[in-house]
Amino acid sequence: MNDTLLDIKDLEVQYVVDGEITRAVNGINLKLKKGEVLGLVGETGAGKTTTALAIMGLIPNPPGKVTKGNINFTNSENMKIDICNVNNKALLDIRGSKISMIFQDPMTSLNPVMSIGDQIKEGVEIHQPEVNAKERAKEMLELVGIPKERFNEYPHQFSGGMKQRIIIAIALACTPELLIADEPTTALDVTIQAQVLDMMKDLKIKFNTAMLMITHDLGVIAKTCDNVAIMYAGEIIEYGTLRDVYKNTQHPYTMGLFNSIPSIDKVEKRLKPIKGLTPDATNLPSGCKFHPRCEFAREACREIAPKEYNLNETHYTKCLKVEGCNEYKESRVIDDE
Amino acid sequence: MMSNYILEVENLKKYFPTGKGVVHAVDGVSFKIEKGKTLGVVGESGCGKSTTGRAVIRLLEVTEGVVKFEGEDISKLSKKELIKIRSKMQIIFQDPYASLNPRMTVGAIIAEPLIIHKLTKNKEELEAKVKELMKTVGLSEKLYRTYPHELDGGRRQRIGIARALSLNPKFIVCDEPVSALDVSIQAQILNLMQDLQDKFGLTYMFITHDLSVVKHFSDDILVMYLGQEVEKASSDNLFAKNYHPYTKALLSAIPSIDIDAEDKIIQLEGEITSPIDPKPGCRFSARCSYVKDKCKVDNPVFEEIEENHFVACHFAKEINGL
Amino acid sequence: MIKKDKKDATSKTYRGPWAELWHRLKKNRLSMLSLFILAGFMVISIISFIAVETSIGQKIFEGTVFDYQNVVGQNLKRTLEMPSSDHLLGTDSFGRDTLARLVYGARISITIGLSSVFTSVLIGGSIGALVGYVGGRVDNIIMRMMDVFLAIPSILLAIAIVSSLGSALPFLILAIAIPSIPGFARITRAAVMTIREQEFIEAANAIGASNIRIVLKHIIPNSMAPLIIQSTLSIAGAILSTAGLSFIGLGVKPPMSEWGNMLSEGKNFITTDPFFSLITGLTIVVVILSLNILGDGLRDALDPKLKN
Repeated sequence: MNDTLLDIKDLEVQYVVDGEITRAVNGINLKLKKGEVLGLVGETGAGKTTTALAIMGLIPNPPGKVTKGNINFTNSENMKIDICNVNNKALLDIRGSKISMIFQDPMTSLNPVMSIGDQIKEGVEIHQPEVNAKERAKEMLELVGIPKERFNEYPHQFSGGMKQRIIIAIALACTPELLIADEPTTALDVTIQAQVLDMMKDLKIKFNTAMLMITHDLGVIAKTCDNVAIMYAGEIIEYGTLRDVYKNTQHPYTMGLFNSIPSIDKVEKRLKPIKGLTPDATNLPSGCKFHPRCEFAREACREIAPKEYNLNETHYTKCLKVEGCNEYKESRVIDDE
Repeated sequence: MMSNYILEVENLKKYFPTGKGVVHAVDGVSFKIEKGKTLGVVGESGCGKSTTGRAVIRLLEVTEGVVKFEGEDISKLSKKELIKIRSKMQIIFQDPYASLNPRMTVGAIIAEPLIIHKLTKNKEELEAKVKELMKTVGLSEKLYRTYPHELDGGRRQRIGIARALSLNPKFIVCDEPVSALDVSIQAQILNLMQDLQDKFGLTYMFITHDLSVVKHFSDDILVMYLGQEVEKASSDNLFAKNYHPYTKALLSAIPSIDIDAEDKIIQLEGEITSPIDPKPGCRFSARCSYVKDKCKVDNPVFEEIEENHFVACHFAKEINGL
Repeated sequence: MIKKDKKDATSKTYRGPWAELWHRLKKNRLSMLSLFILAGFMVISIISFIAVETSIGQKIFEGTVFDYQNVVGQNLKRTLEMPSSDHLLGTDSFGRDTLARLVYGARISITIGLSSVFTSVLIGGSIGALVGYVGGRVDNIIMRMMDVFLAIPSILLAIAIVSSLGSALPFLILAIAIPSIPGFARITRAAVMTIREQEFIEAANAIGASNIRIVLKHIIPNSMAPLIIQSTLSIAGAILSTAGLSFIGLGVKPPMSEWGNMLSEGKNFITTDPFFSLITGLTIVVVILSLNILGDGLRDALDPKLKN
């Protein structure tokens, strides 16, 4: 029995605007098992959200297009489809029922003129006509900690944290096998964030839903995920279990991220930020895309694009220095200016 | 004789009348900031931290209370007198997108305060001064004629900092200056602000919801909840020993990046109560797990529980076994 | 992989907001065609002005379609002719050259269209900017006055003004400008109120900028977009109103030609000789359509949400 739920192979997504090509996702490979929580970390423009939209089959075309690769989704009935190569009808069947997505902004993700109960019901009615949608919706409300008596109320009657709970209820109403959460708690206050994350964890266990957690917050990842993928300029530059990535950090960018966060536990006089700026996706650097900002960069990094280098079965990174290849050892340090 | 404090705030109140009632955005806040130091103000959305920041430099008129800047009460100054003193107190905004006029070039934005206060004699001097400021905040001179929308958040925030610096202020209110930025850029800006503080002897009031940033950056920290002060202490002290139930919950809720750290989150029940015409009593009582009858009736006093450590809780001593 | 130069904000070509608008508008072919047509009408109007109002112009353009003699000179032997080499678009019921009359009419229409919209933008825009920034009671009183104006149908208001003041050109402009003032005031007020709440206004306050400076440097430049769009669309409306007034005999009086009074003339023989009415009507349609398309194009180009 194969327990791989999602298998992304060599995915590339580009946007073409005014003849300029934005290379949002550049050949990523990802596997997600049933019930697993994978964290996808990266900064603005790293391609996190594009990856999520590709999995939903929601890349706006035009201007966007999946230019290479496939996304294989295998559900519990062993139905196997490639999301990049199916018709719209099949996508509609999957979306909302097998794969759900939670968006960042709880304020704008709900329809203001529909009662929250009806919004939770909607997906169930479409995908599972045999189920009593109203009962299910009430059940879901209770599960996310909102009294079912509030079924007929409208979004503006709820606070930000409650709205995000409602959105989660909508997403889970059809018991999807994969839940994509795009920055689900970024807009929330810390104490509310703690509540929502806690609730998501419980629900995940209850429904055995696999989750793709997209965020820039390494703390949230540490709280919720089994595995972590670090994205930079449309590539996954480090992947591993939570312990691999957090305790045995390899890639200079990942290290830089950790060093950039002020620590609660330690006292440090100065932060050690990563120099430079995130690259422009319309004009990515050659070779290793991180080399202009990397403190270990050498001539070789400018020429050779590093491949996935496995440190152990679960942990890989894309870095010539870690790989310890001869080209890197023999080349000179880049002199700037 | 001048005191050691650059800013002294006493019983500051800011109310906003609305259709539904009066919003008590800031309700009796008092604090002092020492010269060259940083006061961090933390709290969740709607706690009044930004309103406080704007009121102390009188970008908002205060409803009640005294704000003394270098010993002078600025809450009653006329607009003319205010403009003079305003150059010594500046603000850096949260949103580097909304706080810059999209129709002005980088050069023009940084030059504007210099033009208004007539600080340079001619065009050449103005341009030289602007370029010097750009260099100070780490912006390339080449960006002089570009427009803000063409730059990323980090560089836009640097423009905002250069604009604030142009008048040689002594005191800067930083309203969530890094929360809209990526982690790696955030660290760059925080370091820049630290360097500027050392170089120009600036005093900061640093407003944020990010507790790890505030701990790193501040000498003292003030925790606010629904327009009121909850706890105040030195930065290290607050993280080591905190007495208010809200502070405890807030600090415990920060997701740590240490995966081996023990999970000891204190979950708060319920949601933040409304700041519109609040009832008497402790405003945190609705979410507090130690709540007693007294809390729902009497306002707690913000008092010194130990040296330089203030708490507003009726039962601070009991809860903490003091 | 080919190595490219590090493209950075410093090496990109940068455009100011207006250049950016032009760049985006250029990509809209229909808008550019409209702009081209309108520019053509502008040029014709300017030449017509020179040919009629200046003595050198009168000499240079003698005998051409721009000659005022051709606009008013009757030739009752050659009425209602179809196009020929003498009269490219034929003649009207008095034997006057239709092309010459349309050209002269273009000048009148465009003069009235532009100056009436300019007047209403200036007055309406200033009122809107003022009440939007000041707010409070001033806002309430002035906007209620505007509402009263809005309640009167604009063509009725224009008719009332023209019939009491007379139909000289300045009064015509005023008659068409006044009814559209409240519209501009509303639009500007709404834009100013949005901009007023932006953080960069607060920032300007923090650096000690005066109210006048804030309005002139920060608020007005940022609230131009809706005004520009509305102006383009209003010019079309103003040209139609001018034609409407002339059609019912209140605007430009014969023998001076104006598109509206030409249509009015044509209606008398529309069943027997429809060509004259057709060509006049078509001219109006082309200009109005161009203005509307350009207005839509500007709206798209100015909307930052449609950037990508």
